[in-house]
Amino acid sequence: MKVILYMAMTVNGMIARENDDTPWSNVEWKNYAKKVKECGALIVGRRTYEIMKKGDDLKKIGNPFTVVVTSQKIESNKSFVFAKSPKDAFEIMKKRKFRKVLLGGGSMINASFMKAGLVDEIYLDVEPFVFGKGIKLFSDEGFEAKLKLIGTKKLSKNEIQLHYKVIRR
Amino acid sequence: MKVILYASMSVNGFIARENDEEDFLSDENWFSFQKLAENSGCFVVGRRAYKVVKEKYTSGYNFSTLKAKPIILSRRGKNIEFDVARSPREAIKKAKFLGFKSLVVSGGSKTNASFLKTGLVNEIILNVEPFILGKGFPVFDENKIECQLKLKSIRKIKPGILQLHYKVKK
Repeated sequence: MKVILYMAMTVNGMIARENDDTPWSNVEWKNYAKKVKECGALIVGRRTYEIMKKGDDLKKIGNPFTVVVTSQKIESNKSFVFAKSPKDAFEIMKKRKFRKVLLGGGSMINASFMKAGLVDEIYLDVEPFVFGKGIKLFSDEGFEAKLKLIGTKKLSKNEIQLHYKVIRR
Repeated sequence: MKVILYASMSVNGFIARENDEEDFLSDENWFSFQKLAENSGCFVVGRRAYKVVKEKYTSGYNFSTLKAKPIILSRRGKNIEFDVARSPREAIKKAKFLGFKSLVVSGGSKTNASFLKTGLVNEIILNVEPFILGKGFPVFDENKIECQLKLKSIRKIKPGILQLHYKVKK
């Protein structure tokens, strides 16, 4: 099973403003929805899950099977399963026989998946912004990874997509 | 006066490790900077970045080997070797006075952020290394600025390294 991290970010690596705002274009949303549908399964952190729920975003991306990673005790239901750790989330997805799973933020869950060595590929949609402050692609953690550039794509006049493979973790 | 901000960084926007090491960046990034600085004829770096590069790279890649005029940004305004500017505005004024038509700003985090804050940066060129760093020095030190960009070009400068070239929307 492949875990694919897919995020939109500013040129300096911010995935949202400090107040969680993401002023990205419709092109970006469409691309994200497409990728989620392609995988059929999504892993997010609790905060991202709550933000998406509030904005009715899960419906917009086709209500994928979603695993929410959280340390809090929350009852799972039909469309959502709660996992205690990245490893847990990974095992749940594996049992369900998904071939590709999308990891969709936020910064803490992204970092903990990277730290656990569970990310295979990364798609970054680079939005034409600089945010001096904001929510980082990865929350500050002591890890590093070497990547291999697989390709780049222009999404619109000012938006580009970078596709990487994680080669050392 | 055209102000171009140049940085080489990890995909998530770090220009150095917490201990100032830049070992994750390839030599190609230095050549990019060199070309840019020499084309413009004038570049500005922060006092700390200048010191780090001077001490770490005693041979080869060093500011003193560049055929370009350095200006050091230092609030204390003391440096015996080079021209010093106390603010981004002063640095730009100085470059203008010396007859340059463009100025390359190249680190570190604080210098980059302070230039962006003045609203006087026209273009941003970012070399993106295929590497992720969990923490380090960000390309822009945390500040309240937000700006919108226009993509000018994207190109590969070596297998794996991308160069993103943006115009800053005013």
